[in-house]
Amino acid sequence: MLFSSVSFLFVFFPIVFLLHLIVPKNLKNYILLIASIIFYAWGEPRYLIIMLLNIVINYWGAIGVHHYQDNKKISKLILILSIIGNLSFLFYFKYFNFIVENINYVFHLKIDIVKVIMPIGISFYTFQAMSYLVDVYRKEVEIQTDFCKLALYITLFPQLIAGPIVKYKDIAKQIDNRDIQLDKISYGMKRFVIGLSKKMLIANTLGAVADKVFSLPVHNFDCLTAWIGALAYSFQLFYDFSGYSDMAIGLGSIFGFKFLENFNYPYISKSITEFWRRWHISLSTWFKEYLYIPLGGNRVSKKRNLLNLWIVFLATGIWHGAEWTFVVWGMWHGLFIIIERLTNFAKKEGGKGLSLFKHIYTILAFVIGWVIFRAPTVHYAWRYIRRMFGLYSKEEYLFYFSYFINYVEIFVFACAIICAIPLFKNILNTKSNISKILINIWFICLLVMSISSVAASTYNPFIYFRF
Amino acid sequence: MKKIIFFTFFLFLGMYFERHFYEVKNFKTFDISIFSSCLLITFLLCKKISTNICNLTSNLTNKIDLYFVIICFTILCIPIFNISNETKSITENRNLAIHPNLTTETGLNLKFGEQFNSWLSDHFYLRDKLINAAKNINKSNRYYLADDAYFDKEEELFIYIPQLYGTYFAPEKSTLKKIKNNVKKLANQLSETNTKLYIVFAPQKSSIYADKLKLFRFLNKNTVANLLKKELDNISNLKVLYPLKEFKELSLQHIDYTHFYSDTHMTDFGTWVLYSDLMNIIQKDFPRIKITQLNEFKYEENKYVRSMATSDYFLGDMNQRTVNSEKYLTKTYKHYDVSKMLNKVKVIDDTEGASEKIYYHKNGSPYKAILMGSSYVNKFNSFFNFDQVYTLQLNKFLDENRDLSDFHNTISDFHPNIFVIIINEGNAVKYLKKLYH
Repeated sequence: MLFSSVSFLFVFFPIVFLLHLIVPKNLKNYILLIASIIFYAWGEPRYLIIMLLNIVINYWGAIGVHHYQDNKKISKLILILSIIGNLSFLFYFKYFNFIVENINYVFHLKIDIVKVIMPIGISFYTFQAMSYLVDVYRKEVEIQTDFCKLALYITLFPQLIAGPIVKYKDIAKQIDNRDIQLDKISYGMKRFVIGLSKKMLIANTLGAVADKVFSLPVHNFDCLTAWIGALAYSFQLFYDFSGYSDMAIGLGSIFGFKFLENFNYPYISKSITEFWRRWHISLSTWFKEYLYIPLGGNRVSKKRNLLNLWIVFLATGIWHGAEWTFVVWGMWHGLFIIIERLTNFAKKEGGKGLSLFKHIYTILAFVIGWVIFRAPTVHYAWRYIRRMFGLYSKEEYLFYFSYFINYVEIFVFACAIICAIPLFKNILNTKSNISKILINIWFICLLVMSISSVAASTYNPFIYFRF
Repeated sequence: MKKIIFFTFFLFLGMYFERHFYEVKNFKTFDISIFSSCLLITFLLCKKISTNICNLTSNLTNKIDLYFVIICFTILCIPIFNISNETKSITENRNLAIHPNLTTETGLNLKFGEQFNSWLSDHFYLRDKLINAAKNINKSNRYYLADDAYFDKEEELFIYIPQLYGTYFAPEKSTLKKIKNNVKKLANQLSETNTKLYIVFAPQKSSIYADKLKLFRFLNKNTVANLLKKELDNISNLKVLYPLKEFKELSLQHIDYTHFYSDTHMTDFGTWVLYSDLMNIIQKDFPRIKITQLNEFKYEENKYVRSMATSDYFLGDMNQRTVNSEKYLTKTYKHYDVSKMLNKVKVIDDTEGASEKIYYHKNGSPYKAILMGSSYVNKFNSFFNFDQVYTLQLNKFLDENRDLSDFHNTISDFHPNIFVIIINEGNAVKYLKKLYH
């Protein structure tokens, strides 16, 4: 189930909210657990078993790790086996076919592709569950002996399918005891409306622009259109993903949880290093804590440190999907991180000129990165980037620029740019009653507009029946 | 006081749903058990909610948040307050999804979530109004661009974008080769039974009115259909027709519309022009055939679209994509009573969208013909007056992953004298390359 679907908005969310509100405190977790299972099983119930197996592995894995904590070898062995168990599902559903395709290509073989659909959210809940396991091993958290509570942590529906990746230590206490107050519900509702509007009004509109450009062969659009497509996709991705995170954080707040922020205006960064401190914070923190530091972090030689950084970004790329474009995208970012580390670029201070240069450099680096990320193939991405910089000579334009973007989309583009800058950062913390009323009215308007947009998306005419 | 307010509110809410249930199920009498259940649930809800709300608001210093939350949840609940019972959507030209069951004969319905979502998406309260509001905003623009359609109010053009791609984007050389091989295979096979093959590329608005398409520029003015014609012209036992020039001239003469403004398809007049062009070619091989003239028919004038002489009128694809309203029908077309030429129609397969039929014409030319193609076949067959015309809708069987070899026996058994493939030019590559797998 998606947050922007009619089933979620009009049925699931109001019912779960009402039930969660009326049941006694000791039943609230059970209500959320059942709701989370229904939420997950809604689209593809068959994959529920995978998630349940994942929970069982981590539950017993953590108990084993905890039980043998005095015997490091056995404890480590159980940890490794449990991690392999976790990753094996992820590997099979997400990467198996990719590897087979590449083996077939390289060795001219014809190994059959397995017909599987990737369980939704598997990358998120696998990483989330592994963090619990490692934290138990590191003795950073108390073992959770209540199976339902651990199951709730892994399946909690607000962050189940698109994050943020919540670490167990961040919400362990909230699972046991949490406060549900109206001001938190109101805050959560506002964050949810912000997220829904980001998704329905900005991301979907700009997504349509990006789709129009990226669906064409590169020789069918000009340099300006290529930039419009790249920027539209950059904003689509940001508003789609951060919108989903806002909705998750908002829902969390409504149900009494406090999730950490996942985005912090990444597009105002002045370096790629800073970008990764602001973009998908929960993922970069996860990789830092559970991959970068175990690899030695920065307490190793400089060469090894750079290699560690590169490995982390390669893994980040692979985590996003089983395509060469994601691998190249991860390497692209890793390359900039290494260059910045070598030149100490992120820490360099200077006047407005340097600041502007740093902004432009960062925007160029991540926008090109998003082109690689969005492109169907690396070859297409390469041609697209060349077109952006006027280096691709073949031209056979069919569409004028105005085909790709109309006045409404230009207006949404402008809104997207303004909202990517922290101009309204403290809008939810205003104290004045008049401002509060005005802001609430604005949020209600946003909710109505977003719901209208959801409603309009259900229009599905059957066109060719009569002919 | 709060508890009394809550109690009253939930009791009325419960009674409302009880009434709704009452009406839906057509209960003859007032059901006391349902009412009692409502009363009990109301009491429990009211007791719990009021207690919890009191706890929630215990630290509340400002009621603005409370009102905000209530308004938001009310807005979210409005769409399910009055679920529509409609089974068909006229504006969308389709049956609406039905409410799914949680279990099926084979056990648990694993598609329940997906089906419930479809059902709710089709039935929630105020759906039509919200959709129309959104569509009207788009419609107010000079240009309208949907995922797959474009219309320009000023130039009075409605174009289906995938067909536009198909009209102008030249295929790869390998695709051209594949098409040529497919057509050659069919031509050779037909020559064994002395059946003549004709291919008609029906010109579309995207090429006829190319100069008016303000959002598009055509550096390569040569259409794909021209390219295909050139490629296929030297195949023996085949004649190719692509009368773009004639259609362009007709569009300037304003005799009548060749295509519907609110649809992508041809009018009766446009179809007849194409038919007579084809018949002039066929006549060279079969001199005895008779070409039907338009003045042999009566006609009625209206603003609607009709797919074939025997079918109903409708508003057209453009309206279905935008706002389904008669006020956007601005042109009047002549619809001819071509159906009077039909003796009978034998349906071979008429599953939804499919068309495999044999048309028997009164006083038709004494030959058997197979007419195969895209949706253009439907209108064309009305004029195509042969004794027996076997029609095959190409797009239907190709979409089902079948190809022409599946009809080998059908063709042999029917033993046609004439085999015509008629495809709108924008779909020519798409269909011809899949003729044989």
